[in-house]
Amino acid sequence: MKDKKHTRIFDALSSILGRDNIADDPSVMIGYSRDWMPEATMNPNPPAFVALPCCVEEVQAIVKLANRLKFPFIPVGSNFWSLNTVPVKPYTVVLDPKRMNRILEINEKDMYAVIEPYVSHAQILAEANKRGLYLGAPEAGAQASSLANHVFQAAWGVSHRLGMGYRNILSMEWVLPNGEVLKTGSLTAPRAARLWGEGPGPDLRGLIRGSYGVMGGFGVVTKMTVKLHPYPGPKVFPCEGILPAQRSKMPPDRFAWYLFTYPTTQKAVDAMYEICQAEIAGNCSKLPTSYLNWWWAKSGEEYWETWKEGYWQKNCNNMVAVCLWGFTSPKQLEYEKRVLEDIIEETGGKKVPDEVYDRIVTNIANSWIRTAYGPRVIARSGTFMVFSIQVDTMDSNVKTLKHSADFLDKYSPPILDCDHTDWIHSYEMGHLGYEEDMFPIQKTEEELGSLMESFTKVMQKDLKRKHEYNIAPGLGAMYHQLAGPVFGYDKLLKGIKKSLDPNNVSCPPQPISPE
Amino acid sequence: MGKQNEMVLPKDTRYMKYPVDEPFDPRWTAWNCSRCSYCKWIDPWRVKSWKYARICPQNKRFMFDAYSAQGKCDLALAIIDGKMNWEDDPRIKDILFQCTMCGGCDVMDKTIRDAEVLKLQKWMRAEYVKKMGVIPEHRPLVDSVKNYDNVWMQPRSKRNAWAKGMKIKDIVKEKAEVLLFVGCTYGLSAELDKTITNIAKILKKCKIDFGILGSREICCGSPLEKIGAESEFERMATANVEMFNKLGVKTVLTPCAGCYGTINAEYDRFNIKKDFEVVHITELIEQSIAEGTLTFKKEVPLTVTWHDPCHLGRLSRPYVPGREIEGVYESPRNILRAIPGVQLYEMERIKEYAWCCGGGGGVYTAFKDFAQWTALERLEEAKDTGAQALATSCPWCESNLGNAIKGMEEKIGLYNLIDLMAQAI
Repeated sequence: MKDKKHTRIFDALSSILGRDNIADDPSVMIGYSRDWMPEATMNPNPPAFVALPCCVEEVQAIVKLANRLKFPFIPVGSNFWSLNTVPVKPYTVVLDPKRMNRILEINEKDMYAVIEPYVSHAQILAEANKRGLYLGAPEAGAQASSLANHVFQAAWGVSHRLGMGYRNILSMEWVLPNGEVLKTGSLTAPRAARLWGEGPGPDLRGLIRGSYGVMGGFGVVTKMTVKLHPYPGPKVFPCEGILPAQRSKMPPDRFAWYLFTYPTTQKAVDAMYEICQAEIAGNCSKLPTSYLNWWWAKSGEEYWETWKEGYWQKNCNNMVAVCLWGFTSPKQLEYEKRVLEDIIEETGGKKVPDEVYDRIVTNIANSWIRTAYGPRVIARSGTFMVFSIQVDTMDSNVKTLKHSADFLDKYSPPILDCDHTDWIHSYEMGHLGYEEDMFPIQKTEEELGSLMESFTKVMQKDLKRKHEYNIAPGLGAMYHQLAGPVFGYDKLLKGIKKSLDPNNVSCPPQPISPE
Repeated sequence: MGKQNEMVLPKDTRYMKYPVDEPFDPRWTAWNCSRCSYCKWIDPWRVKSWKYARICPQNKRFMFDAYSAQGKCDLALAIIDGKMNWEDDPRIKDILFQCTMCGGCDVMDKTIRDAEVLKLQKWMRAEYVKKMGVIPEHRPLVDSVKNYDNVWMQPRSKRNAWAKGMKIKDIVKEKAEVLLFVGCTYGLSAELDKTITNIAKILKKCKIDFGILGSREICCGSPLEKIGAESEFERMATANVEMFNKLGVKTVLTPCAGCYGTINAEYDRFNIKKDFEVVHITELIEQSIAEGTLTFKKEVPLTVTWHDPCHLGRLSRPYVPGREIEGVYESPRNILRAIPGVQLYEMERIKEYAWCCGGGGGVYTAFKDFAQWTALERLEEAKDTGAQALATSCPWCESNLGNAIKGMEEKIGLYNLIDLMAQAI
């Protein structure tokens, strides 16, 4: 319904952006009506407008207009995991950043890059690799927006060594929900190298980054400096074969994968702690069998036949996957190999058979260096859900995953066969443990609806237990709404929301409703 | 896992085995799009630079997500579920038809899931045309095929003008092992006369027993298939297969990538058994070089990059879920490597993830600006290799890239592979 307000907003946006860069056509809007999550899949809702700003000035003008005319806006990146940033209010404008797609600088000496929102991880990795630099690859796949991934959480394969992605933010140019432009860290000093993230004054990065970030609720980041790290790999990612069956082999003098199993998850985690204490490796994860199958299988048939055959379940139960990186030299790699061999022996680890090793390393493992075939997770049954995500200690992760296993068993069906999908990842040399349990469900409205219902019931019980098991992430948009009161940060978050976004125009109701 | 300790598997068996032989289900394809955006980029393992990371010309040019396979999945779902109608929004025409149907999105999607998003887009075009008619920009093309059996509004008699005096067998009158299916563009374009003549000369040199249909040849139907003129396409495809079978042809040799891909991958859907194999000229020449029946005597000192035509590569085989996206990738490269003096430089986007020339899907005919914009990106990529020339083996690619070169300040050479080879023989 194009009423007077709609026309007024459209005309104003046209004069800011030019007519070609704003759309309200139904056929264009429908392409922004959902994300992958069950709720939006079942109840898609198109925005009223999609805008293509090209710079901070245009974003700022749109945000100021939003405050003046009282309409909501939603900033997106590559718009894959939007976490329910599907419009919930009339006159919503989606800000699609495809015209803000530049890498503005890569500084080899000081090891950072300045990027705009539509730069993909793969693009920045490709450019960084040429210069012997690196920044990590997310589970969502390297087609995802790097900037958006950094503020979301950025759970990378190499976070064991490099830290969670959100810790790699060095500075931001950020249009606040009221239209003011805030610069953080080194971007505040025009002539400074973009080396540091803190200050001047309070470190404001904490306002926007973190687990799930603030989901667009605190304005629009238009520019970001991200830290880059030394990369001992080749300038071009080594890859052969024709899609979808391509393979990769990293240079053996700089990279070495070790895959070994334990009788229990706890024993696997105990070994991971040893690895962390020895301060070795670039990647260190306990990978669940179903994840391996997701990443490996190139078709639904291959996936389900392999699963029925029990290939991964037989060979990779409680498997720890470690990639040693010779960051400084081949000697470093040789040293770390010796340390790891000792740890495997001391902890009773059993290496997987050679055939299994080859299958994983060339087809799967190197994904964690350039990209994960994360979206394949969705394909084998139409969709998936996440029961819990927890960033805590790895020991705590083990406990949470036991609760997860109960849920998976109890609600299967509709949850499809997937073993216990317990993924535990060491971050920052084991100072943090990350767990996640994705599971497949068939993408029908009935199955999605039934599971969402069960999920909500379990969730309510969990809340009564003071949020013991961190299951809120599965509900996406309600994350802070639900977790805030349990952990006692809801009032603070509401206060910040009211202060930064007095008209509640930045992606309502994210990150938390001010009321 | 599961209550009875039995495996809990999807009830919808399509998740367990994609039914390539069953009727296409557009809703299922659209519904299962996860919005991952793989369809907009080349595979992240293959990205070599910021500049050449994209796969979809339409999405890169028009930016809104509607102009992508993902956006078209959403649109298809809305149409199928009755939330929108084709006539509701005039922009639907642009979204559907300002696309080169190059299949880049399709390859990337198949990396992630079992699906045929290009087939979905063809279905959408065909449904749109059923309801709204052929779009005005494509009307002359359809009328031309109806009236002249070719896409260039040329009389049938002109089809064999190039062959005059060459003593080539008329396959209707004289048996031959190989039918050289010339194609509308090679047969009727004065600019490409030289190329088809060279092809005939090379075939003779290789002692291939071949003939042509001359004025009886009709269009393979490729452009019709791409623009949604499904019934016209079926008419051409059926007529061709019936004719080839009736003539007892065992090998149909095509110099045109469009004819090759269409006859190879698209004709099967009409349930008419093909009693012949389809071979592209580059495959035959590669074999002749390997067997020693074709040798190069002269040096051609040139650095060359190869542009993979979509219809010769990723669009040239029927879909087999999980299997490599096969195509004729190596034959032209091996030919180039065999020409003395020629050095092959590769572009960043090649083979199954090559960037389109911009000339396909009816875009060359209807949306020239977009066709040229797409071509310019490919030419830029070619120039960035440092090569002196770009070679290809598709008349549509050659024409579209050739037009774009005319507007470039720093030009790059453009060769049909056959013409380049001819210099060395």
